[in-house]
Formats: sequence, structure tokens, C-alpha cells
Amino acid sequence: MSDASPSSATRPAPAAAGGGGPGLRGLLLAIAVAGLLVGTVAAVLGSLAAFERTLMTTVQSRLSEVATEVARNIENGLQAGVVLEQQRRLLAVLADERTQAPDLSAIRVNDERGRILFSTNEAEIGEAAPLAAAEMPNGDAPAQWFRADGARISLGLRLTGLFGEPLGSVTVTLPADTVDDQRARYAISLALGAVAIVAAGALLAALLLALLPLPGAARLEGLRRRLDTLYERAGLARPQPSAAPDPAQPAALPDSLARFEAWLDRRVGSLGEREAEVRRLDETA
Amino acid sequence: MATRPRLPLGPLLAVLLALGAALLGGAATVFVGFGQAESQFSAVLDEKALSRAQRVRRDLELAVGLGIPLAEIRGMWDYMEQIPANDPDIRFVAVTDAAMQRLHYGGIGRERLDPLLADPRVARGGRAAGIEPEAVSVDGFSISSLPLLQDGEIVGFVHVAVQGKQLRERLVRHARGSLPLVLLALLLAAELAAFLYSAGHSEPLARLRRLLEAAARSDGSRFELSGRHAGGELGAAMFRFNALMHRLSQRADRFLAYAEEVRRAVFEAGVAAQVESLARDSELGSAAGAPRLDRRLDARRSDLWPPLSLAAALLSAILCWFLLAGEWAGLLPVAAAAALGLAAARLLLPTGLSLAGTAVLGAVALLLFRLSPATAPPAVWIGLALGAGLLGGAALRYARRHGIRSGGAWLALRLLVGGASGLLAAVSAERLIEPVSLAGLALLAGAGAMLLRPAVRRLVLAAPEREAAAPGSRGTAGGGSA
Repeated sequence: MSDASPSSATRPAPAAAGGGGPGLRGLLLAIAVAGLLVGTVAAVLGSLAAFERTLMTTVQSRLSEVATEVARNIENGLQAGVVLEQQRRLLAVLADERTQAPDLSAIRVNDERGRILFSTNEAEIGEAAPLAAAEMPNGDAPAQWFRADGARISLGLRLTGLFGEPLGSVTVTLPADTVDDQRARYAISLALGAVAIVAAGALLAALLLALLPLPGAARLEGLRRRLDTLYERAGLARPQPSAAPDPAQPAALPDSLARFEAWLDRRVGSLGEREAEVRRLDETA
Repeated sequence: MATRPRLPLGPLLAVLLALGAALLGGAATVFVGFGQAESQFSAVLDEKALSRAQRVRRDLELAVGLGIPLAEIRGMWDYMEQIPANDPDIRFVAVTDAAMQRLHYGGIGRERLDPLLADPRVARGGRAAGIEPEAVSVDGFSISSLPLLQDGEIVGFVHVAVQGKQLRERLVRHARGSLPLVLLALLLAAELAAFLYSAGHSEPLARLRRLLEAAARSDGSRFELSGRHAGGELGAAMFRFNALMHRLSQRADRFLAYAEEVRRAVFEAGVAAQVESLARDSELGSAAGAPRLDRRLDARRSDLWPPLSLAAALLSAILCWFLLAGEWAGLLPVAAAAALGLAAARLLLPTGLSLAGTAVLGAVALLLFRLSPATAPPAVWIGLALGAGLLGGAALRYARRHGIRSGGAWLALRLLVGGASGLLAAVSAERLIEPVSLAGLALLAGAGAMLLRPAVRRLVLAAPEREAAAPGSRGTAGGGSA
């Protein structure tokens, strides 16, 4: 006849399946890394935006400097009594400016109808300026405009005669690639820096969490040990009464655990007694 | 004695940890970024200073060539003052004679200028510039000097200076525009921390407490097991609890089977009745046999967290964009689409389908998000609103199916946080330049997707799992750790 005595009484508790995860320390590390990541990404975006704006301000002032210089030469010519169309000296001025800033793609002087009067590219003199109608200077146009679109960055300066009458404009154009290269170089170096910061921060956080004592983790570990003990006791033929919890090894959920432990002791004790009684009756019979 | 409500120290510490990490990471990145920007701009600024010095030299050499002594050129005060006034990158312009005595200047005052010009490196730089112009760094100023020549003789120098500090101030000034993005990042970090702590610690611990209490109150006929386990110590404890209840059930089962075997085997009716009585009153199991093991599905409140927050974020971002563009009329179809999505998710569509639809709509909308409300096709906004409605509806449907009760304050807080996130994201996008605004939105979407992931898994996998673990079926202790 089979025996109801708990054959698994001496079987060890199952392997720590379900406990292989990172635990409380891992959770805190994940929280720290998440915060680090979010903060770093936001700072990268903010820094990129600040760099971009500063870069555009610098480019604008650089182009403005060139345009102002050309406009000053035109004004000098007008004061000397030479009309704009006949200021041939401007070609040399434009060439000189281009030499000083070789990254510029073009410097143009247009009349008020948009026809190119002078340009660093002599082949386009007499052509219509390659500008959208909205950009063309007119009576209501601002004295200076700046536009960055896909392929080029342009700055225009409205020219007026000695009596305020519109004469045309000076346009300085820079290929957008020049700025894009700067931006890309900055973005790459910043991204690498950010990756290094996140990696170093995560490593530091992991080190600190590994070294610092975490009472919460110890209490959870205590809870697991108590449940381990209860698992063993549930398999014993003659369960021993529960020992008082060790104050040196506190467990989480102490009240719930104590009530559960009392219930379990009562049920397992009763079951053990009944098992013994049935076995005795079986042997007697 | 009434117990005083305890401060939720754990979540508070988790939020503080995330905020501290976000601030430290952000500060370190800004520090590195500004350093890199300064080094990248310094070459550009030096070139600019040199270019300006060449212009001044050209003008002055024209005057000197006409025989006007350098110290007596008229209008120099205005000329020199205008240069730094018109170009904020230029800190000062100065003209000295061959002995480095200051003649004309503009920009900073004499008290600061004279010690800089007296530095021997400046004179050396000016003399060497004839061969190879190079900026000299003195007290934070980068000074480009060029010699003024008359008949091949040096009659003076032009000095133009830029300053890295000014560049840093400009970077800081421009970075202030990113304040909404910083606030958004801090809000997201806090929200992520609270969510992770709640989903990974508070809720599983509360679940284990409920299981222990339920077992202690039970009559022994039915036990409830944990349906999914966290990792680490808590997961191990839950696994042990399941294993313990399973062992108890198996032992009761074996005892009942043994008692039945003995009852059938004995010939004396009195002994058989005694054995039957012992088995019947065993306090473990019921008339049907050993204790029943029910595996709980364990749907939890934090499952609602991501979709609700993301839906609120999307809707408030749309609202903010329309308000910034002044297009009030466009809000009507958006509101209608959101309501439609909500209704569809709650009433009509299967959960998985609404989520799949939301993901597709979200991806399409994000790709087109860089368009402004004025030029974006209405389908984008309607799609986004529909997606937000579907998300909110799917979350509420999930809550209803699984009996999750969320307090009004909890729900209001989730919607408030989501709304604030959307508002800040929209304002950030408005303030920042195009590629960056797109990246900012990607950040929001990424964080949202990260939050959404566990909920999606739960929503998609919930139904078959529940059927498999329907009441009455015997769970295997510790069989499934989620």
C-alpha cells in the first residue's frame, strides 16, 4: 500500500527561478539610467539648438559684414557722383571680399528690378537675380533680410540713393554645406560625449548601488528566506513550531507573513496528525 | 490609536534619484557641449577678427598713403565705435603706433584695454603677422594684430579682439530657449521613475501581501497564486509562495488519495468510517478533492499609466500647436476624431487591433509632424487625434475588463502629467529649430513607446493567458514567471 508520508520532505526548494532578475538594485539602476538618459538627450537637444542659433548669428554677422562693406563702397561712389550702374570699381571690391572669404559662393549687386549689375561671377551680370519674388527689395522690404533654405544661406541689404530712393540690393550667398559641416561635426562630437557620459554615469551608479547597503533589498531577501523555510516545513511529516523571527534578518510584510505563518503551521500540523492517524489505522487494520 | 498616513518614501526617493541623474547627466552634457562649441567657434571668430583687421588696415593705409598722420585721421572715434557696436562678436578695435602707444580705440574702456596692449605678445603677434597672421590669447581675449605699413615701414598696428566669454554668454542666452525642453525632460524622468518603481516594486509587493492575507483567511479549499513574477528578490519570494502553496496542495492531494485507498482496503467498517472522517475534516481541500489552485492574471493599475499619459500628451500637443497657429476652427474635426477613436477602442475594435492601428497612425503622423498646422494635411492631425483617442479608449477598456479601479486623483494626475508633457513638447518644438524639434518629438515618442511597451504586451497577450488560467483549472506552482 502506498504511503502518504511526504516523500518530498527532504527535497530542496526549487531553484531560484523567478529570482534571476535584477532585483531592487537593478530597478534603482534602471531608474537612474532612465533619468540619466532623458536628461542627457534633452541637454544634447538644447545644446544643439543653442549651437545652431549661435552659428546662424555668427554666419549672419559675417555675411552682414561683407554686404555692409560693399554697400559702403557703393555709397562712397554715389557721393563721388558715380551712379550705381557705372561703378565698375565694385568688381574689384567684390573680388577682394571674395578673396578674404573664399567660402562665399556669390556676392551680387542688383538694381531695383532684380537685374544683376555686379557679381563675383561675371557670367551672370545682366541676368535676373536668382531670388524669389518675395525676397526682392521693394519699398516695404526690411533694410536687411536673412534667409537659410536647403542649399544656400543668403543675406540681402537694401540699397538706397542719397535721397532715400531705392537703388537695388547687395546679396551675399554662402553654400549651406559650410554650415552643415560645422553642425554635423558638432553633433557627432556631442553625441559621442553624451554616450560617454551616459556610460560613465551608468557605471558609477551601478558601482554605488553595489557598494551601498539597501535595507529594502535585505528585507525582500529576508521575506524570500522565510518563505523558503516555510516551504521546507510544509513538507515535513512532523512540523516544528515556528521560531520567532530573527530581528537581525528583518523581512518585508512582517504582519501579513506572521498571520500566514500561523495559518500554515495550524494547517500543516493538523494534516501531519491526520496522516499519522490514518497510517496507524492502516497498520492496525 | 489611529495610524498616521506614511509618506511614500520609496517612490519619492526613486523620483529624486531619476531627477538627480537627469540633472547631472544634463549638466555634464551641457558642459561638454559648450566646451566643444567654444573650441569650434574660436577658429571662426579668429578668422572674423582677422578679416575685420584687414578691412580697418585697408582704410587706414588709404589715409596714411594720402599723407595724413595716423594720429590725426578725422572721424576715427565714430569709425572705431561703430565696429563693435555693429558686430557683437568684436570686443574691441584699437590702433597703436609703432611703439604700441594707443591712438584710437572702440569697444572696451581704456582701463581694460591698455594692459592688454602692453602685453609683449601682442606686439610680437603684430610684427609676425606680416609673415603669418595668428591670434594671440591674452586674459581671455583673442587678439588679431596686423601691421600698418607706409612705404614698407611699420607705422602702427591694428588690433581686433574677440572673446570666448562672450560666445559662452551667447550660447547660454540661446540655451535659455530650451527651458520648456528641460522641464519636459524632468517631468518625463520623474514620471518614468514613478512608473518603474510602481510597476517593478510597489505593485508586486502589494500583490504578494494580498496573496498572503488571502491564504491566511482561506478555508483551505482554494488558494490563489501569483500570475506573474517580478525579477530579483521579490520575484523569488513570489515564486517561493507559489511553490509552497503547490506543495501544500500536493501533500493534501496525496493524503486524500492515501486515505481513500486505506478506506477501501480495510474490512472493518468502523475503521473505514474513522479514516473517512479524518479525510473529510482535514481542513485542506474540499469534497471535490485537494485545494484548488487559481492563478491570478494580476492586471495592475500601472498598465493604464503609459497609454493614458501618452494619449493626454498627444492631445494637448495638438491643442497647443493649433492655438499657436491660431487655427481654432481646425480643433473641431480633431476633437471629433479623438472622440471617435475613444468610442472605437471602447466599443467596437478588439484591443489588439486598436493598438496596431494606433501604432501605424502614430508612425505616419510622426513622420509628417515637422509640418506646421497651417500647411500639414488635416489627415495628420486627425490621425494623431484618432490615435490618442484609441489609446485612451484601449486603456479604459482594459481597466473595465480587468476590474482595475483607479481613484479620481490618480486618473487626474496621469492626465495632468500627460497634458503638461504634450504642452512642453509643443512649446519646445515651436522654440527650437526644425531638426531639433523633430528630435524632441522623437524623444517624447520614444519615452512614450518605452512606457507603452509593457502595456502593449499585456493588452495583446492578456486574453489567451486569462483563458488558459480560467478558474477551475489547476495552475502549476511557479510555472510562469512574467
